[in-house]
Amino acid sequence: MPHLTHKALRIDEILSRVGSPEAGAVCLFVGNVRNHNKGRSVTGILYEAYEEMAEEQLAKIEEEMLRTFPIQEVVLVHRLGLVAVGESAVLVAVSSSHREEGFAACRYGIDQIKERVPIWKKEYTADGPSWVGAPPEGEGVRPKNK
Amino acid sequence: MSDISIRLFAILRDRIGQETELVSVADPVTVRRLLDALVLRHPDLAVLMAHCRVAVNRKFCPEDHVIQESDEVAIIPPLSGG
Repeated sequence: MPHLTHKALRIDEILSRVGSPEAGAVCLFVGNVRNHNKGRSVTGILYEAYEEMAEEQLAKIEEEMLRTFPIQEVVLVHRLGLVAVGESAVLVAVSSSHREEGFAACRYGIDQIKERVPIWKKEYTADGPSWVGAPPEGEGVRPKNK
Repeated sequence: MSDISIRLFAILRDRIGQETELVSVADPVTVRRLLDALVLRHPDLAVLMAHCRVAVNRKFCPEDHVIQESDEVAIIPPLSGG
């Protein structure tokens, strides 16, 4: 199954994919588009990806999660294109025997997505669209290339 | 010299105005040299480029990584997924 989609994310569909008879717990993280950011009113977000690499990175993170945490199943999906306020942009679903490892894996999943999956958001506000995360002018510290 | 085709995304693609750019870089082409060559061509992007990473064949690579002409090279601006 692809990890990237231009269609609305279906929470029920994701939950059915991680369900397993051994799993007593399912943890779900849902990232939604909110109506404000840094004091400005947001009307929607356009998500763009380097799709080939993002697919590979998401599959790799899933593999790492299955190897690192005692969990049964994991599904990561990210939406692309224009996403309206209140709609979901990312889902991390984890099934496990017990809740502690589920919560830990779920958090690891969303943290890794933000750190290393090549996806960018362009925020639409009353002031017009702007790319999120771009450095302010005049600041030029180079982070270590990872 | 090697001619490296670079894929551009998001803010970088918008600022440069095209999805790919071809740059000639002295051999051996390291990630560092490639970034320097791009900044030389687009001095107004120096600040932004300082915050970018480089992916070679869809993997993040350090500054001393050597790039081949046949590699898939992309500049990765600061991420904001999730």
